[in-house]
Amino acid sequence: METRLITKSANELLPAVSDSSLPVFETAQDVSRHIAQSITLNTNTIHIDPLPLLIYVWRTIRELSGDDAYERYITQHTTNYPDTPPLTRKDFFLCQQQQKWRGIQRCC
Amino acid sequence: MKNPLVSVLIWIAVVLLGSAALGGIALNRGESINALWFVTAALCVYAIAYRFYATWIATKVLLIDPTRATPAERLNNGRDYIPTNRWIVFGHHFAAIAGPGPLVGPTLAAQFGYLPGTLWILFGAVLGGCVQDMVTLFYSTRRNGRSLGQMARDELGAIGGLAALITTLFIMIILIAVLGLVVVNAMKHSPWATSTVAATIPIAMLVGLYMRTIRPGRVLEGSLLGVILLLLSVAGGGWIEHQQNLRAFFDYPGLPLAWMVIAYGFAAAILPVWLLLAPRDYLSTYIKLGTIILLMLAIVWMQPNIKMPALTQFIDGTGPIFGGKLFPFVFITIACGAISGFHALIASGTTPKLLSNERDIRMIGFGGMALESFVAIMAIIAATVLDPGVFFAINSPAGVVGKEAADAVAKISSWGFPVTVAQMNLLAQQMGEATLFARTGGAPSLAVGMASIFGSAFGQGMLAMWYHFAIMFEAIFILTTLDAGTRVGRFMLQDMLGNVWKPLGRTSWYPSVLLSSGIIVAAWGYFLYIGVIDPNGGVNILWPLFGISNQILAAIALCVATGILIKSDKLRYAWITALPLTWLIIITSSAAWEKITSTDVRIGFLAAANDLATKLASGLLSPEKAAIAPQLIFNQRLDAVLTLFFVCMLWLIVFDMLRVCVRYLKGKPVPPLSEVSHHLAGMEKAWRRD
Repeated sequence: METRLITKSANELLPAVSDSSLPVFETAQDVSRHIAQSITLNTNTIHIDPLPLLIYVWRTIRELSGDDAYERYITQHTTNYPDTPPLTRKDFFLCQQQQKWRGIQRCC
Repeated sequence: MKNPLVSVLIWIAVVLLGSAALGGIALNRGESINALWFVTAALCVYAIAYRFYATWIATKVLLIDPTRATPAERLNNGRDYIPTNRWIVFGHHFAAIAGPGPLVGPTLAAQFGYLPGTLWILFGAVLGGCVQDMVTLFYSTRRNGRSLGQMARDELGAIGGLAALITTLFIMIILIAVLGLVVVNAMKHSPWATSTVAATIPIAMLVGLYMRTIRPGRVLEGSLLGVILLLLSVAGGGWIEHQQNLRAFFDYPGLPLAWMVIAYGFAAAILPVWLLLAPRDYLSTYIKLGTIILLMLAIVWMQPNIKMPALTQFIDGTGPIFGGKLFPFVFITIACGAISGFHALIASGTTPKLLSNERDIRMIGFGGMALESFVAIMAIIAATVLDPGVFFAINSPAGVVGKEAADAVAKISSWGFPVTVAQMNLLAQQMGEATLFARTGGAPSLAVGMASIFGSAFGQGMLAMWYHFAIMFEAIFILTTLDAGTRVGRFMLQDMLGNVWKPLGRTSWYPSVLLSSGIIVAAWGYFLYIGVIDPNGGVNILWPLFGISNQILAAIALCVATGILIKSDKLRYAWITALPLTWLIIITSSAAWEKITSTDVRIGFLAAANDLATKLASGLLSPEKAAIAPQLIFNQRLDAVLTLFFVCMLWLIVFDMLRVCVRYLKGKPVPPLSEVSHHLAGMEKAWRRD
């Protein structure tokens, strides 16, 4: 049996991360290091490879907004409760919202 | 930092720069001072506090343990307990704590000059607010994300728990009323603002329907659609403003607007969350974060000059916006931005359930509050870049400076803040408003300040557009707080009523929903109604009441934290929460004392009530004033009782905390620490899988 320990962050739970060629950014330093690495200096041209960074930014925006909440739920659900069927996307969001707004969510 | 010497040198430079900026702000008595000094001083203070004080608290006092599994890890259910990237948690936490409070409070407190508010925002935050948020977040994380009320009950006893619960309910009611008043004052006789704010309701519903039926759960698509529609509604409001037949539909005095807000609040509390509350919150969060970032950039780019003096003569208590001396009222007026008890409700509850590692507590608890404090600094900048004369003309209620423009201008100029009717009319015309006189509540003057900063950064031609964008920005998240607060108040009330008669506690039983929503709306609606009919503007009564109650909630959170520190044998470190707690006890008690006993009619609730009663009895009031006088008199007396009640709650919980601490130190039995036992991070899932 696989003995991998708990994932460090929800970032790694995302299906997109299964593509191992993409870097995982944990801190601002990781991002700046990546930017530095993605710029290759030749004698007279500068080549910048922005794609992994853009994907990272897009993933962050999705996670921050909750756009990917259902995908994360499915990943989590299939790992822990493989025998029970998961909620549909619609039901999941209804439940999420009901639950969220029962407590104090917004401040002065 | 790799090289310790470089690190030391950098921090010495930060300390020197911060001291120079703070010294510059504090000692400057010249004509004007650049806003960049404020930004520099603030950033240096936060950086030093974060690097040294917060780190010390984390490592020496709380003993944050990165190897300990967080509730999100242990109880991960993919729904509310989810281990989440710390930047994402930071975003959620900040979006939750930063509301209209840090914008309105500093604007009102600018009547004392720029200095008192700035110093209190900076030092109150790093020594009080940030510590409160961080410590509460830590203790709640160690208790599976329990709420402040539950922690108070577990750690101090039933009395503490009940005091926390009741205070929370009351502060929510006062908060909603005062925020409702801010929105009403911003929409008064402004078809542009009213139509834009009104348009946010169908827009939110449209987004709600989109995210429920058309594309379920596609949050980003729905939000993008909504934000575009909101921006169009700002422009559309400008069009309505110029249509003679249309503008009449959106041109209302304060009272009808107040009734509309009340009706809206009731509807929002009983409608399903997916239809109005949830989509509106998505929109308000984006608009809020976007505008704050934009304002930050505009201030750094434009480097506007501060025109307000460091101190005004109103530190003696004669200020037109609210009565009362510098001490204690600046500390009451600026609650959010320096220390806000409400944050303890967010820091216990939602945020701890998302933390993937205890190590993130410093960044999210301390750092999140530091950022909110920075928002308050920007609000003070936006208020003080205005000519002081203009600032006072917008914010002074008609009851203080007079109803006629000429009277108001003469009065304000006589204070040494020159302003002319022509200047105010031109400004109103530029902002697309009929008048800017006596637009109390802080929102209009903040919007004028923001519009002038944005206007100078991105083009003067769109001043009116920026003004109404700023109004829409404030209104949309004020209404979100209003919706959400009414709803939470309803749940809390249903919880309490359920103890009296079981069916009332059922949150899906419609009669109970209607009854409890009605009670909550009636409670804040009453204060909103009185605030609107009060010729002195209402803000001068409601805002101090809100400040006092919010600071008392903070004191309760600090009581819980101090109690836990002492019960964990950390008496020698207990000052980190006991010091801000003592300060809060001093300021709230003395403010409450003054609000109850002062003989100055502009400060004392009872003095104002008695003064009005005498005038009414001797027939000195005009018929229209005499008609509302009995209500105003009753309200002032009610406010006095309420203030007394808040202070009693405070002292009750302080003594309860002291009782528990003394018993503990004497070796007598106390409620045991309710901390969840240690689980090694990373082990839980492997264990569950095997």
